[in-house]
Amino acid sequence: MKMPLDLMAKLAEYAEKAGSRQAKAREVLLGPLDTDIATTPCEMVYENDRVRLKHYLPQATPKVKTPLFIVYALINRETMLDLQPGRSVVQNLLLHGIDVYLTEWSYPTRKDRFLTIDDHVNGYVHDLVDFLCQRHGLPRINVMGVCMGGTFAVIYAALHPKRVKNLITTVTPTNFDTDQGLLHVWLKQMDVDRLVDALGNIPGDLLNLGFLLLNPARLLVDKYVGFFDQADNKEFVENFLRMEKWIFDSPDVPGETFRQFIKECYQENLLIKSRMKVGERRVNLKKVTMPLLNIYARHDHLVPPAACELLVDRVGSQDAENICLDTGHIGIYVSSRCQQELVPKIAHWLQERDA
Amino acid sequence: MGSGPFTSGFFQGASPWPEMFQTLAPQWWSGYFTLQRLWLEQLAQVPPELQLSQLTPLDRNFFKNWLAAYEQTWQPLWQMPQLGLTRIYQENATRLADKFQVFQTALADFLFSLYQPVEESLAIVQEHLTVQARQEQISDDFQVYYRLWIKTLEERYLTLFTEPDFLQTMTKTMEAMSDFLATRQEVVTATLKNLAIPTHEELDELHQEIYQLKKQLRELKPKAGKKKAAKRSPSSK
Repeated sequence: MKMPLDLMAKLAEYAEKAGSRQAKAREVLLGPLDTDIATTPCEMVYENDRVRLKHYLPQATPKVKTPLFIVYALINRETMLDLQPGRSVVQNLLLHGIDVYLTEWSYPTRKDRFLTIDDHVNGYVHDLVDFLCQRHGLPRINVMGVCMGGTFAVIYAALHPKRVKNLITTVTPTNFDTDQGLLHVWLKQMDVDRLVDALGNIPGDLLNLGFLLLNPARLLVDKYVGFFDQADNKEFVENFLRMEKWIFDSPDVPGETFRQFIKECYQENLLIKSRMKVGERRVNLKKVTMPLLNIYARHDHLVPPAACELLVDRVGSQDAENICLDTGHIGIYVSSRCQQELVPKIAHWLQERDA
Repeated sequence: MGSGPFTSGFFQGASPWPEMFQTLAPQWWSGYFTLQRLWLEQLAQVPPELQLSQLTPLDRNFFKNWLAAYEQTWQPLWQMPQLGLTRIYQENATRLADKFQVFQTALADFLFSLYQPVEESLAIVQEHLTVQARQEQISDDFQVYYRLWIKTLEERYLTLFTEPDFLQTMTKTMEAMSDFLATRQEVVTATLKNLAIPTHEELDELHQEIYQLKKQLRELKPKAGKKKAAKRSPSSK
């Protein structure tokens, strides 16, 4: 009967530890917590409908004279690029002497349901680029896209190549014909017309539910088990809550944009074939002639490498480079290790092309 | 509790605390045990065929069969033509009931398929534990079994999520949800119209008009700018 006795002893020990951890966790959770996100000082310099443009105040001597305009995705919020000091892509870029502007798409309402990709790219993005060119007295600026925002940036660069000096795409899907990611498999089946007709805008919570279902074991179970395991660690709890705050702060996606993105990209894969039409104009990737830095993540379960890496071969640019980082879709922006890798690469690449 | 003049005055005449507890505690316990006995007696009245130990595992196709049965039996009744002045309202109501039923069944089927990996992974861990127990090799670190379970669960989900049957279930659930929401909206719209309250339909029409106007304005702006500039320039005079 040795085994049950051992087990009993272990159980008792475990219960004792859990009890003490619970007491500490209670102190942490009931005490003051710093869970603020997006704290890097910035000013709003432009506003049009729901769309705003953030300009971050410089924190170092400028090393790149052309400003960097970041086009964020319509899914989730841009606060992810500035989660907390020390783990902020924005702050890191500023410390590398880059002048940073970031789009804030805000929360679409029912009246925004008719906005298409054309309205976002040839409307808002184009206006913002125009505004920045005027503000800085430059003919073109540097553009960086994040995920779906990267797809918009590629479309914009193809339609308005004279406005983009250098293009950086990060975890940007451009080739949608792959079975590497579950999202690509699932969305091929979706009757998007039925969904958009019924819902108007696509609720952010519904999208989040879809993302959670991609890996329920980790995202719905293990993540929270890990949280309770370390709930007595204040720093861990604060970081965890910041991430939770960001993840579940999801604006809805304008219905017509969602319809077009799913149909023409995920289901028909028109962009990478240079057959997509935006605002009556064909998006010809050969028109993307400016330098292109295409960064993606090896373990990305949302936008797998196969969805990103083809772009450099399809564009017209002679200076196009792929960089694959050993991380995941979000880790590329928030992990401390990637912070040390991603931003210096971008800063160095931009400096070399800032003549 | 304080023992000042107020407290002593308040409890004047009452038994001292320990004595009071000795009297009350058996009453409380007796009441509690009676309640528990009643619960157990109630539980014992569950028909034997419905007791947990007697339930057979739910067939994987249960909800699909349920839907098929519903489509053959109840659905035609919902879809029966209605008559008279209230025809439209009755049809709306029955259509909503029908779509709700189809959505609920599809959702139950979808949730059931999501539950399958949980059951399978637990069975695998259980089997693993049984083998180890037989060999007296059970680990005293619970994390080992938790990690095994999570890893197995993750793998099972990954397998499930690419199965054509699951994809079909998910697609059907999304479609059923869309149909139900659209029908619900139609019913709400009809009700609001009767109450003279603006509906989504009407607001959408308005939004679309504003959207089109803004688009036209955007296209006209550069042209208007050019015309203005041409008027101002001396060559045009």
